Amino acid sequence: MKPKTSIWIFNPFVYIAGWSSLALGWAIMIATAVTGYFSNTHLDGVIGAGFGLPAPLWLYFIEAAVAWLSLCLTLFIAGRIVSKTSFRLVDLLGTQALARAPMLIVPFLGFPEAGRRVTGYLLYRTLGLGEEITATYADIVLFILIIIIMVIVVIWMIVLMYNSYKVSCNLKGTKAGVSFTLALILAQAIASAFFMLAFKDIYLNPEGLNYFLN
Amino acid sequence: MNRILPLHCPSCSQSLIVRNLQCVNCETMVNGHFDLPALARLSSDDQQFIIEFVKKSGSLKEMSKSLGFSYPTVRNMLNDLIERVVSAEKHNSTNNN
Repeated sequence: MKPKTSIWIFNPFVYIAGWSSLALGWAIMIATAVTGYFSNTHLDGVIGAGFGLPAPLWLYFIEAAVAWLSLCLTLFIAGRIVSKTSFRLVDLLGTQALARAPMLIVPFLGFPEAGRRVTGYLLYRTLGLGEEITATYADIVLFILIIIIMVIVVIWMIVLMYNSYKVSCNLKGTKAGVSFTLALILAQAIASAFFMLAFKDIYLNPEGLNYFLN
Repeated sequence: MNRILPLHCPSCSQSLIVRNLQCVNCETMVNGHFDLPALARLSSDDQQFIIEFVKKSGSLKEMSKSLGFSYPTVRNMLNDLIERVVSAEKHNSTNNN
């Protein structure tokens, strides 16, 4: 038997699911969206994040809802096809909401200006966008640290999402792995398409881009 | 001491059968070839789960509370147990044929 702490970190759904995990997951998603609003951090994809574009608060909530629901939808369909047993939708919704908890860390990574400066510097140097920005070595080190933390957070979240799917839909082995991967790719495509079609103007407006670069 | 009923042969790991039964009162012995019932073929943990499940009137929610696991986890445990019961039943019917 694995130690209880590692189960709580990587598969808390053994102990918590359904309405309680849905309430907790929503609370964390709201906290993430509000923090994202203050640090201009957009979680505009199932597993994606972007820094720097200012937007109204409601957009951060919509981003959170779309990212969460698109994966729930594809996993629900995958579960119905692949699982031999029946399962409750509320377990999938609740555990998937809680699986997004690690993303609460990401908006805090958007507060240091170093990340913005290095991104602006890279955009200017590689694509010729915006004005020339100077980035110090300290900025670059901090930027690399932010990227490393983000990668760890995203991996942790994917592990949680996978375990949520396994527990909620009673799946194991290759069947679970393959169907989860396909559902994740499809959900990412759905979320990206939705954001680009519905909020193209906000994401690509010059003000947002100027803010991003300055 | 709580003695555990052996289900498999310690030498070749094949399933064991009952050859001998004895009355605890008059010590009359019955010899024959009796298969263990499907439920007796399950592990003691599985048997305990079934007992608790029956005591809780088959409520997975109640089981979830008493075991401290989430509802889907307990439901998955039950599904796994169902598979083992079916397998034990198949084993018995194969032996009877």
